[in-house]
Amino acid sequence: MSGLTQRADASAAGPTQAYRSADAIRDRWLTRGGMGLLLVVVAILFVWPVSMLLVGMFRSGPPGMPGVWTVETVIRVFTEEATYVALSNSLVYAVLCTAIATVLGAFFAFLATRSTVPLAGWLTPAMLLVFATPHVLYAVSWGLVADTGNGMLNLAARFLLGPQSTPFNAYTWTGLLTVHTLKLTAFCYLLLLPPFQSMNRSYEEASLIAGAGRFITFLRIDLPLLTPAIFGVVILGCVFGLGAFDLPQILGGLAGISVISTEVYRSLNYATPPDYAAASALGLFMMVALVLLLAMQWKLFGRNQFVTVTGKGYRSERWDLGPWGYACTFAIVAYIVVTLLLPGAQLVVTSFQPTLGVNAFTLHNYQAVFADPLTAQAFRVTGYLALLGGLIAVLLAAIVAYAGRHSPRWLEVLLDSVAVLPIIMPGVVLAVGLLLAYVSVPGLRLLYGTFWLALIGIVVFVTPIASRIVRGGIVQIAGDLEEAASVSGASRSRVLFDIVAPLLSRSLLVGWLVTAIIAAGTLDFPLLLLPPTTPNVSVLAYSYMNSGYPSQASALLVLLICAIVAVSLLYVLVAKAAKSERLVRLMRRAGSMGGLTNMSPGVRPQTGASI
Amino acid sequence: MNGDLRSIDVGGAHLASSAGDGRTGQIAIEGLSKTFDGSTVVSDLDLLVRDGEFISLLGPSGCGKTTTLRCIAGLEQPSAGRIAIGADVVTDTRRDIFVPPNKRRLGMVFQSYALWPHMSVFGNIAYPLRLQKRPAGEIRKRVIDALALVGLDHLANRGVSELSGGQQQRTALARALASEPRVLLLDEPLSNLDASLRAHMRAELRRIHREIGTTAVYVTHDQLEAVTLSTRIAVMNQGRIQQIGAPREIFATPASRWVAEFVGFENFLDVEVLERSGDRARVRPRDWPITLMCRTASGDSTLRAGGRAILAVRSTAFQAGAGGDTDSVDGTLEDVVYMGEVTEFTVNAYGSRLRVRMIDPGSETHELEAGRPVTLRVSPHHAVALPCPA
Repeated sequence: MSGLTQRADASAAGPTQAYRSADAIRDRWLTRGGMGLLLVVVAILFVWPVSMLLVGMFRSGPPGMPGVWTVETVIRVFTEEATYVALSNSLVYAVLCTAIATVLGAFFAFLATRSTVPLAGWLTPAMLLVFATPHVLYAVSWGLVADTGNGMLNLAARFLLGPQSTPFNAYTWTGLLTVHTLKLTAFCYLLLLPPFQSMNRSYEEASLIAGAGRFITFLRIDLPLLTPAIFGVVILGCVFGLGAFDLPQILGGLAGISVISTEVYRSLNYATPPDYAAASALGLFMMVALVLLLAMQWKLFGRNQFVTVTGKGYRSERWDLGPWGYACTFAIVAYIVVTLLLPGAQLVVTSFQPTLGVNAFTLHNYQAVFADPLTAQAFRVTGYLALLGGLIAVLLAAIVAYAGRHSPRWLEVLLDSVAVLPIIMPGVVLAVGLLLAYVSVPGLRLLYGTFWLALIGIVVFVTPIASRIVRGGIVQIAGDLEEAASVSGASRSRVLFDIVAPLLSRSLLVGWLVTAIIAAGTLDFPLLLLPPTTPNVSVLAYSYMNSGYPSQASALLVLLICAIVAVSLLYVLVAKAAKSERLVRLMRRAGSMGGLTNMSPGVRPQTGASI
Repeated sequence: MNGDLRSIDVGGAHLASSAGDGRTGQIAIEGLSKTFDGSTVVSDLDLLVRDGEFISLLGPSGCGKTTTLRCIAGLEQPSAGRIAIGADVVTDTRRDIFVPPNKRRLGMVFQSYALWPHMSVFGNIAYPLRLQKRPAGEIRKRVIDALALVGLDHLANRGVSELSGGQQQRTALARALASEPRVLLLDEPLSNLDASLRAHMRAELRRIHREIGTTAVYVTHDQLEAVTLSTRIAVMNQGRIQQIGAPREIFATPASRWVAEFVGFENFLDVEVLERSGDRARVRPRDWPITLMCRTASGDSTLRAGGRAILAVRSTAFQAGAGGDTDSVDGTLEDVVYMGEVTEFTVNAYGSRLRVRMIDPGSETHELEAGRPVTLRVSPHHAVALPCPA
């Protein structure tokens, strides 16, 4: 915006003539050149893998090798019964888990934001921890908790019900669905928290004055207002459910449950030579499903997903749920015990046991893990992937969002949509797209089987998430703030460094942390893209698990979660030290001032961070 | 609840105040206190709002006026006190009575309007009526009547986000009135409008109140709104009512120096009371060779001859030139500021500095400049003797 105004100002005749003739032209070419470069980078990173996937399914033979154009593979995949079994499994898995997780997440978000229920304050930290826990860790620990032989749950059940009963088994449909739902609940909760918090309380108060009780108010005012937000969460939940790989691979694999993601993986890893065409064709299924879901959301709610409005909220007392409050507290405690304490305790205990269920304390597992030369390397790889990948993704997202804001509307929309394009591709499918894209180009083929291809993959994978977080921050910095700096005599770059960067630093840090945590725990990408000789921690733990060393896998994962928690705590300290609170306040004030000027009160839709 | 809520009168005249026993819309507040986290926002407040009255709670921000309104609405639970609306006790902390807001049969206009964005204009206004389970035909008629009352009959099917600020304001008012509330509560309803629209809506509110006659409690920090709309004004500061009375009373004879400053008195002089008869007094400012006539605060008994007082004089109470009577003040001009509509003078009179404002001071005053001597007459109607703070 301010860029345009500057140009317009400069083009007015008069004393700015001198500026216009030389500097303006240089500026314009720099801007155009930069924008062109950005577009090329974005296209290579985000568009190319998608298009290669579309092309790849009609190509026989591995990428980079001679092959022929054919529709045979596509026809074979689309007529196989296994494909449709996997597809329906994927759909059931995604829809069922999301439905339950959204209800649970909304319930807990309501408790945390609007009620006086005891212990509601524990919810957000607990949910953050659940969210930060890698899927691999979750899958492994749940496999142990519900182990039919010596898992905690079955030991307890046997104690209560007699020696023959083994009611729990994670390696089943029920187990898989339960574990995914519990994990997804944290995600839904965290996404629903902001809309619940920013609900304009005077909407509720107006309804109370109008004569409605609290329950009617909730049904007829709160729920309709939150519908777009809830629907957005449902869509995202389904997107993740369809693309889920880690849990189905680890827990569903033994139970013989196949979903599309695991089928993609199988066609690459269990076929010789790897069947890229089949993998691409299967990936297409998911892309079509995801595009449909996202289009549906777009159609129904447009760009303004959270229609909740921040108004001049008057302090409002929280609901006292009376005797129900204790039932809700029980639900909170139950959730925390089941999702955190139980798997956490099992994992730690197992990591100190010689074998699962043998009650003897040993450091052997840790010694073995440390003795393995792969361990140190795996932590290095994980660290690089997470921190470097997250950082690149956040910076890329910031540049794209910032450039978008200073571009014509159509270009902003284009950049915006391209940067989130990878979200239509679940991890395994994206990995296939990347392999196809990079291996088929002679120079880039050198990247195949190196750390760098995995890094690129991680960047592409987490950029949409980074983009959502950073964009929220950029939107908050009102154009006024930048223009005020320009008028004060700051050049474009000064404005960027003096105004935008400091105000944005908190969103950048948050984005970096979130993407790094996600990158640290992924299994699907590294499994497909990293060279087998340099696994990351998730892959290493997975291979320990597959080779029948659950105790050592546990030890490794305990170390991983310790590292993740340590990095998160470091972030909290840095954020405090950087006085970012002050910045946040400044930003809020800037935001609210921007809002006040056009405050047609009550109905200004707020574009929140969402997909 | 406390059982004495009467059933809602379904029939009756639309949007007209129900005749009742003259207490239907009366609000009696006794000993109301509210503390938030240890800080007292409203402190031992008593207020009786008569049926059909339009009362303003006027005060600076943080004076407790909004909290008082929200206590009447039931959106806030008082720390102590008793509130009765009509014959119903809606809050009594001693007897542990608290009627929730939805059982109080009130109408309220919020500062942010709080129009539900997922409902149309019609839907917003019909909502309270639907909750009262009125027949569809009646709801339609009442909504249309309410819209006609606020002049929005053509917009019933609009979404509220398509409305301008003024239209949203009217919709909020229509919603508050549609269900024939016993009392209408308004929380700074005009503060989000621009100046010209505010003036217009002020006039509209006056008209609407005249037409329906519902008891109204109006919270504002704007003196002009309070004066033009209210039958009585309660001036509030630090959680207490400083003065309550008709607008003319408050503005002519403020009860204390704080109220006087708040309603725009600018000159304050220490004076000796020479004589007093009724609401008139003759006073001599300290070190002045002359005496002045002035009003006294009505019903004030602390002022008596020989005592001390504070004389508050509006800057507009002065006229140029000597008149026939004795109350003319000689002084020296210290500063002249032309302010367009008015001109502001700083006058040094017998060692006291006076702020004087005059509309169109006349041709001879154009020549006035700092250092010149001036003579001013003081209108006794715009000077009031206040009791010294204890």
